[in-house]
Amino acid sequence: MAKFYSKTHEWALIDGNVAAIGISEYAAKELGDVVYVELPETGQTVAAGGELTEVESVKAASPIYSPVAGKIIEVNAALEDAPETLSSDPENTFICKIEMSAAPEGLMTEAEYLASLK
Amino acid sequence: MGAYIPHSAKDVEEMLAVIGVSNLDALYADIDDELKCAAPDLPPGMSESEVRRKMKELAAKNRVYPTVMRGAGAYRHYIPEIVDNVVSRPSFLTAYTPYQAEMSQGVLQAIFEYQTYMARITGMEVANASMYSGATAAAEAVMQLVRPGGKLLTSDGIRPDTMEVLKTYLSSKNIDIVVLKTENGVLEPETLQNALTSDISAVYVEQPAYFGGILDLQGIGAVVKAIGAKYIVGGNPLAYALLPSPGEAGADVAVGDAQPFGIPLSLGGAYVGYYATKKSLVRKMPGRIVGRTSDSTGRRAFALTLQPREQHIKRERALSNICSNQALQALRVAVYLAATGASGLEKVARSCYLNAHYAAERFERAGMKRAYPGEFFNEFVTYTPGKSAAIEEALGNEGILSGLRLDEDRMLWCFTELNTIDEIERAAGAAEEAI
Amino acid sequence: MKLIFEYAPSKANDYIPASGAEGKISVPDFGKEIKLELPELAEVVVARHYAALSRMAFGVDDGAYPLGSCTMKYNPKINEYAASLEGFTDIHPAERAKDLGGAMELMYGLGEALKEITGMDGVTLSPAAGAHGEYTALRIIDAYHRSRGEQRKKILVPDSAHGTNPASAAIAGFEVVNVPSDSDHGVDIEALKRLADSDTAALMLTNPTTLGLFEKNISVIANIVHGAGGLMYYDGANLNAVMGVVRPGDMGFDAVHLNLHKTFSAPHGGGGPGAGPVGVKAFLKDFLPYPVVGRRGEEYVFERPEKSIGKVNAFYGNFSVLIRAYAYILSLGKEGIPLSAKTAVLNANYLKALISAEYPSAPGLCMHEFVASMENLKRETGVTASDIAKAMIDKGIHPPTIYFPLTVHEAMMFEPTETETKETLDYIAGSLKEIYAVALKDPEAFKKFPLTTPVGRPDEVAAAKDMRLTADM
Repeated sequence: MAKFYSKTHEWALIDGNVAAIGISEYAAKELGDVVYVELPETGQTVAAGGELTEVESVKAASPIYSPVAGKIIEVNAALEDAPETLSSDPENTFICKIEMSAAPEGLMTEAEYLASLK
Repeated sequence: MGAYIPHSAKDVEEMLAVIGVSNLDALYADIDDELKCAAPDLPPGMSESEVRRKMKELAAKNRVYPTVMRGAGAYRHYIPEIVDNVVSRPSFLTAYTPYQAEMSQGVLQAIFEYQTYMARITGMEVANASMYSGATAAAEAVMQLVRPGGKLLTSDGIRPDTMEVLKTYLSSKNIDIVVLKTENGVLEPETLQNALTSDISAVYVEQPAYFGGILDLQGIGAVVKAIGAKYIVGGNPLAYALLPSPGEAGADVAVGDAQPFGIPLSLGGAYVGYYATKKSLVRKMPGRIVGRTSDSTGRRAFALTLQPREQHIKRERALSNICSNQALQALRVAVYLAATGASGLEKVARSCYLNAHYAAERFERAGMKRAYPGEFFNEFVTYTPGKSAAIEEALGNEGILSGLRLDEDRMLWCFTELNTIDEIERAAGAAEEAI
Repeated sequence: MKLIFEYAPSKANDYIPASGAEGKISVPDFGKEIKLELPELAEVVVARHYAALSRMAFGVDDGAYPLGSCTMKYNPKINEYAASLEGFTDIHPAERAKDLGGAMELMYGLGEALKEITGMDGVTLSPAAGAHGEYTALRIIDAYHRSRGEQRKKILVPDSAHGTNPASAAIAGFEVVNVPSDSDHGVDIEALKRLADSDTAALMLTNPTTLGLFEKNISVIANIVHGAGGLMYYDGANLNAVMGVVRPGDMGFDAVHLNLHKTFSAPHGGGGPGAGPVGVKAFLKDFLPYPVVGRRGEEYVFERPEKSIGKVNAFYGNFSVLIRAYAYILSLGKEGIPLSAKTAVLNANYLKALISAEYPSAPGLCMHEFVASMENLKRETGVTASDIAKAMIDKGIHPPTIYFPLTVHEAMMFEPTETETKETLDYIAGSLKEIYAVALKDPEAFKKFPLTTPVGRPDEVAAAKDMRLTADM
């Protein structure tokens, strides 16, 4: 398993041809307290860089972009009742899992990503 | 010509000195002189006493009918004196939108209570802080629940005003409107069953129908649900004091004008639209919403909530462009309902029903037959071939605003708790002579 | 403070007699299964409840209200008297035109005055609010282009615009193209040249802009947009700065909406009802929504323009608001209209001059409002625009608009309006200076503000998560 980050602050934890998608610690801080996650639908396909879903804080609604292309095969239903885990433990909370249709491109390693924030 | 400017010449001079300019016109240095206009071509300003006289003159040029038997979307009901008294309190009247929650708890709580009242009356789980009108609320509901390219099904039994507003709004969203024809404005579940196809995303009905007839909301709801379409119920909320509510009928959204609850006729505005829905659809509910929460010491507090749906945050991706509600009219509704209570509201609805049915029977004896069979609430249509204008004129001479002329043969009548037996007798008598 | 649903039941007052038909006719059982659950309360309970709630509300009559972009001017009492006249409140919208002479004369007269003030040729009074007016005007613009066989899909909107502009454009079926601001916070002319093309339906613009500055390049902008075949749309939110001084029609605008609840003194009512009439140039008149009030000889008539976009609302708009605006225009008249604008600009510049050391805004003169940025204070002390706002509440001042426009960090947008006295402006400035001094000395104190309100800062996260939107049964 390897974790990669996008410029738009999402992460993809890649296991074989399946990627779990979440948001970075930095993104979570910027968003503030997440109060709602609009979960994507399983079966839906997304392009790399395409809008996956939207999360709401009290004063903002922010799009989450997919770091990889593919089909959504699982969503984290626990976020419906506990959206706050996306704020409190972003690096370990996935939003959905995507069966990739192509090898990921243009993503950064954790070290590269952290360096890009400076 | 006070124009409500509070400064003396000396004030102005001192203020200009602080700013560092010599006169008022110098404040507009950024504007090209050739763009500037002369003083507007309007009469000179008036003193307050002149304004009072002028407005009284204008008001006197309108005809106020002592007796009103016309509804068609605007209803004259008794308005308890306390309603006007509360809404004229300056802290309500002159307040802005309650963005600063700490100093606006009064407005926020009043809206929260209004939301609760409307949710209870419509039988829905949640309601928003109000919309411009029932017609625009209906259009908003359809835009939320039908995707562009989708289809809405409704019938010719809804108010023509609603139909026109739906047409205007939905055309820019590329939503088709399928209009079912009915005999009497009352859409029957069987008719709907035969017309519903899987490409219909939502069904919109109004209770009662424009011609006054009562719909089988539950029967219609079952048909709509069977194909998985969304069910939007518009209507006069006063009727729900006697009839099953939209919530009881399985509606997804309930909309309409709450004008019958404490808002005067006032030539059709400002009224207030209500919008109520299920909790599962709350993020598809446009407009302002007040939520209950607490402050850091645990005291109950209210605040505008779910704001990321709205235009000031989401801009072109917002659910709707609406950025106000009709707060003062919503306050009227809340005060009206607080004063009447359930028993008072039921009494009003009951009186409307009784007076209208008494009138229908009396009119029939006077030669004004009902145009359509079937149960009605407080409005019905009469059929008097070629006589509509004559009847309107005859009743007008008696100080009675007759039913609305639908055409030369048919009139749409409305009766409320304010119509007395004596008025109905006089109207029947005058109509009888005119026929 | 109890909710209206939490009082012990008492006996409601009798407001109406029993129907005379009671006993002669029976009401059938309609199968209603869920009974109405509305509390029964004596009128005194209701009166005290709302009296208490009104003490927890803050209107223009309660104190200074320098809320930017909202034009919280004093609402003259004579307007309320006019709106309460029976000849206005008790007329049915479906009465015949011959019964409505006064109402039609009022609407016609108001329309004529608004046309004169804006430099437009036609007007509709139907829209119920500013955003509703924007929507209406955009539909008119769309219909105009279509009538010429064109389908223009894009609406240009400056990045500093009110959120309603892009939202209205989207609801009206357009694609929104953001136009960046230049370093002076005006429209970036070079960017506009690139963006305005044969697919541009219109540019939406507020002038003065949301920064409270007059867009000096307005004629250039109008030429660029018109040159591309697009139309110019004026968001009237800031008309109070320039009414009677410069007219949108003369600046090159083709359509405009006005906010009668801002510029023309109708009270805001805690968030409405307002009214958002739309004015248009002659070539757009045929597209206005119906009904419009016209005049034939001495007679007033309701008309449906030839190529009308249809209806945008039931009936004739928010008539009760139109009455107030008309009374106000009668009061101000020829001289009062420009004097009000000039005094609004005077008051804003005076306040700006008094506080500019602590609350820095764009240098030079402003129009009727100005935007201060508290970015430096936040960096140095951690005290935010929102914190300052909460501290102002304790001084009995309604805070300015904060965090708008989005192009200014830690924005505080002050619009004192023309009806505030010099004494009040001095008080606002003095209070702001005191608050600033506290921010430097004791930034921690701000966490507790406001101290004087019935509740402290509401937990908005819990409100959004728990979604308690109605009272419990």
